[in-house]
Amino acid sequence: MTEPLLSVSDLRIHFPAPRRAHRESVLKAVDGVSFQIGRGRTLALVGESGCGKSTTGYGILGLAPITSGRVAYEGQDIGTLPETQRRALLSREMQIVFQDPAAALNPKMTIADSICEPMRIRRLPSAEIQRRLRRVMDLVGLSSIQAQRLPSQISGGQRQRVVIARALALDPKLIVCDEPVSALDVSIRSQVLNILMDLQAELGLSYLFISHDLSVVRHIADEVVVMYLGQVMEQGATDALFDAPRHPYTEALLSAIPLPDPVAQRARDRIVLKGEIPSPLSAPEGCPFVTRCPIRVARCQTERPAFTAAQGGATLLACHERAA
Amino acid sequence: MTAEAPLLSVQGLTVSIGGARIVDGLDLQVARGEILALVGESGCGKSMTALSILGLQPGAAEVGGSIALEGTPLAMLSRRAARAKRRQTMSVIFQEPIAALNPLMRVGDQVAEALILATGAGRATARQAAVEVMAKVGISDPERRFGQYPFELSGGMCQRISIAAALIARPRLLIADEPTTALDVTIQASILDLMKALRRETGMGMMLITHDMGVVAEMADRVAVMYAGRIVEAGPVHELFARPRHPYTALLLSTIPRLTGARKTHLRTISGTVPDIGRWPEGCRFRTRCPLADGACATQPLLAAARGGHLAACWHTDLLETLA
Repeated sequence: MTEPLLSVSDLRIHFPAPRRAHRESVLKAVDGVSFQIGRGRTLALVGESGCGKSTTGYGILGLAPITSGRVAYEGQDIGTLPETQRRALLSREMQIVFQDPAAALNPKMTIADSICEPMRIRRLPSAEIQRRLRRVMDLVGLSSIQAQRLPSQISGGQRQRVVIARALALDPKLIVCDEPVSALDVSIRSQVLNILMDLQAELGLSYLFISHDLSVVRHIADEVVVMYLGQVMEQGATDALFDAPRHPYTEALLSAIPLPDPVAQRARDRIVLKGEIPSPLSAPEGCPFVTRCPIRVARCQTERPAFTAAQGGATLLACHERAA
Repeated sequence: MTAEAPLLSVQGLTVSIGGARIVDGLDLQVARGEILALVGESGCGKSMTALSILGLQPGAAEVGGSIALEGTPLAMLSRRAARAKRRQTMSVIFQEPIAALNPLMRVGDQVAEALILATGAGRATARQAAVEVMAKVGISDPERRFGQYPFELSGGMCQRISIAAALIARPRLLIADEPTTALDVTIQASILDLMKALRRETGMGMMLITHDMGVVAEMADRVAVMYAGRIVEAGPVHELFARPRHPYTALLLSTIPRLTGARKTHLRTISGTVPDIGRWPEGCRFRTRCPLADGACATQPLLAAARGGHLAACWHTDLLETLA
């Protein structure tokens, strides 16, 4: 078996709680998340706001402090490396694409300067920088005329291409894409998704794709991890998870997406969850989903379900009622 | 009030700011109890249309054309009378519930204030009515919630407060500008259910502004698609989704990743980007991005009856099948 590119085991990211916190004194943003990403593969982290999907990505990139757990890159535990080596490895091998390209680019720097900055920081020779600049702009479909423009002079879709080009400049193997198309107009989204898929095929990139948009995730991901209040509810191959979700939260999440087809949408029997997502500061004791779960039983209140194979499905899940 | 007059009738609406036409000759109608979805991407003028109908357009905006409520053209009324007519007939909910509420005012008072302003009701009556309408929109323990401030409530709960404030004076028309875009998908599902139930119970008409074709498919009776300040297609929801008669609508629907069908394939794209406001091409404004465009499109097509019982502004509706 080949070694995965990235392996995350039992990752926990806890923050000291603000003063007004009740009951618990820490905010468990990420609480025991494990997954692996193979070379050239896409793993999606999905869930609603506050579920910890972005924090997980930041933890892997060293942008959020890891409380416990192991992040291994090509078998090497990143946490055990000395700081300088760890930073060098992270910046050489991994990059990030943020949601809002306007906020991710310096408004006073030209497109070319923004893309070249990581290479300059790395002190690449200037001929090499120019060569790579042309290559990455070409890869994402930006014309050389646009190189001297400012972010304000190009469209939102083009700005996101610039952010992707900048992420590619140092030749990373893994890109964390944090809601990369959520801020874009519908007609531009598919262009950017196609670019991401083409780049993966051409360069063998791996993606950690963070998104709340399950239609996009289904299209682009090989594997999906569904998170709720910092914990993994269900995880599995994309087809298995979308065709036969077994966790009641995954079921509700999928059934809540309105389909762009009036006939199908109006014929659907939708699961509408009662209540709101609890604050992560007052997350339930047992299963985090217990307050909204339509199939909860008594022990869900007190006992956190183990992560195990699903009954009658091909996914893994954390649910007392649906465990095999 | 004439019995036959539509609830809202807009004719030849234009909105300009500093010489740039943002909305350019827009006609639309909403009947009693009907949900009209106004769909389009950012910058198409859909929100400016809503603001102008509400009389809330920015100070620099020049509004032309006719807006009639229940058969009464607002231009025929004095400024004060037009304002009163608007207040008695319609309400609005905005995209960002937290931004729409006053952070320093108890949420219950904000709901009650809407009734006091619209009808001149007394404080005690308004308070009683506020508690009732808050219960109706699914706020549990409304007596206690009445005294809370927006920061104490979740986004979904704040949106319910906005809806309560919008409904307390029993409007006959509700204008909802991206009411669920800022909410998580499971919360969106419950808010959409609530809006449908309220329409059923009160017979209120609704103009729903959104970019989400799934929300349109679920909610709308009729749809108007906007592009670059104009309506390019309008018709009954089933017809429009099944047989779009404008290439923009057809392409927009085909670019969306779906929850069924092939994965990891190249998605359909619309080439180019939405032209900037005021830099719209002569003639058909979609022609620079349209695969069917030819010389004829340099002349502006009018919104005319197309096959399938709806309206489209395109010279080449007969060629649409070749797009598929």
